[in-house]
Amino acid sequence: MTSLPLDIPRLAAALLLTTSLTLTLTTACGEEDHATQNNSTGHNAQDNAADTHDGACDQHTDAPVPSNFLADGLLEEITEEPCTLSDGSASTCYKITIQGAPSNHEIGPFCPRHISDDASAGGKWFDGGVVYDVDGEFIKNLSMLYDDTWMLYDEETGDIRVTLTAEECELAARPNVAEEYRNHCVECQLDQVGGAVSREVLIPKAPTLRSSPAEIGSVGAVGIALNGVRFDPPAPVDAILAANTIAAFDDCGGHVNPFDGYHYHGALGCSDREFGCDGHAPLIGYAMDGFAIYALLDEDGNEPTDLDECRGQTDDVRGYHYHAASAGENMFIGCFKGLTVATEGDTTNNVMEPPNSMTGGDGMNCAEGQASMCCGDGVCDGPETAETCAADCG
Amino acid sequence: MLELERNHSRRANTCALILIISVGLAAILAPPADAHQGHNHAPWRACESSQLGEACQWTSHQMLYRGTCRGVQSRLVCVRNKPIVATEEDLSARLAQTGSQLATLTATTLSSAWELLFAPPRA
Repeated sequence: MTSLPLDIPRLAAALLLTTSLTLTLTTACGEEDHATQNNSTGHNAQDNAADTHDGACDQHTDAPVPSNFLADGLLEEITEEPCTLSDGSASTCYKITIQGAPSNHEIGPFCPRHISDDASAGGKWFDGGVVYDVDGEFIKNLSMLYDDTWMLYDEETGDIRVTLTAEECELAARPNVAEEYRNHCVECQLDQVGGAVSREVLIPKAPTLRSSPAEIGSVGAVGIALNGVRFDPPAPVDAILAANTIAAFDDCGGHVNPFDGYHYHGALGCSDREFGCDGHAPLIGYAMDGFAIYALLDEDGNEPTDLDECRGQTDDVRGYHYHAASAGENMFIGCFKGLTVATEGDTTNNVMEPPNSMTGGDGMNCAEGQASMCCGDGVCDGPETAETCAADCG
Repeated sequence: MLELERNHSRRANTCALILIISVGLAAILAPPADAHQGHNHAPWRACESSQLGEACQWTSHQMLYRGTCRGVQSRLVCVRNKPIVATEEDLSARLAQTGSQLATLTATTLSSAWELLFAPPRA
């Protein structure tokens, strides 16, 4: 009788064979891996949770709760004052004076400096539902992601072209990017734009559903995060990309421009409270109509299946509320289901000041004082495009 | 001397096997390479010929986004309100691709492993 001629290399081979077959079968039967990209959250909700819970499960509350805001994100205590809603009715609103800078996290980084830099040196980019790490490799491979006109770095040194001064920020962080700043990674720092941009914001104390949803305005905020940062409408990535620029976001989905200061374009978990007592997604802020905005996913990692056209739903605990889209979609909610505060010139814009936001920001520009964006053809919410906007508004 | 050569041969076989498995697994696990994958216009294009409130959908990276056309920044954009799902094309393509790769990999690995484990060492 002879012994089986096995030695260590052969045992290793057998082990590898078993492992490879197991992994192969797992791959064949496993779940789609893109889900992590689409629902990526840069921060754990629990990391930034406030100290208190947003209410017991047997309570019904669809009204804003001032104590949910982090006090450090506000310049003043939240007060109540009379206001007029967009349907002309008199109401009471909360006046929230936001600091213009997050109270619970640092701002940036945005752009890496060299193509060898790892993800810690840069922030994020949102496109097509995906949240990309803006690291050196991402910058290096932009020509593959978009087209071969992209070259944001010096081929000899590997240095990435980044806007570094206030002037460069001003010339590059706008829809009509100055020619010399094409093929740049664009970033602005708060100290380059005169510091945090404080705003007084009015949101209805008792949110009221409207008969038909209202458009997300192009110059007004979508809402306010619990840490005092504005939720803004989608960043105009088409205009940004048309200039071969990346207006990078930080790991919290925010960036700075000269007009709005620091603001968020995607929900990455930096203003989240804890999950609800029933496992509901965490509260992240309030929309301008006063309804709450919650994160995308519940405690089990599922998103709601019964959202309306604005990304809202109603339940017994929270009443009507929204769920933010995934950050890669460059959006929070799709429309306002409730009445917003009427302000002169824009019925969807609750931000009281400053009027200079009409002349810049991330949005497409219209004439100052324009009553409504691009409604010159009489079709509000109509299928206008950026190209027809100028004619409509002229 | 002969034993030394046998050891070298075994090591070479083991390395070859590891390489085969690694390449096979990498081919299966890696996402499909697709140049110019930027899809920033897709949510807007999905509503280019639609009216406010119409259902819409767009795809990106083999994922399907379904929702409703809403006015955002004075343009119609597809606002998703259904969970993101893998496209049918992606699922069937992945299934076909995985099945084919699985068969190839299994045959190659079994063949290599059989030879390594039970074939007499070459002199």
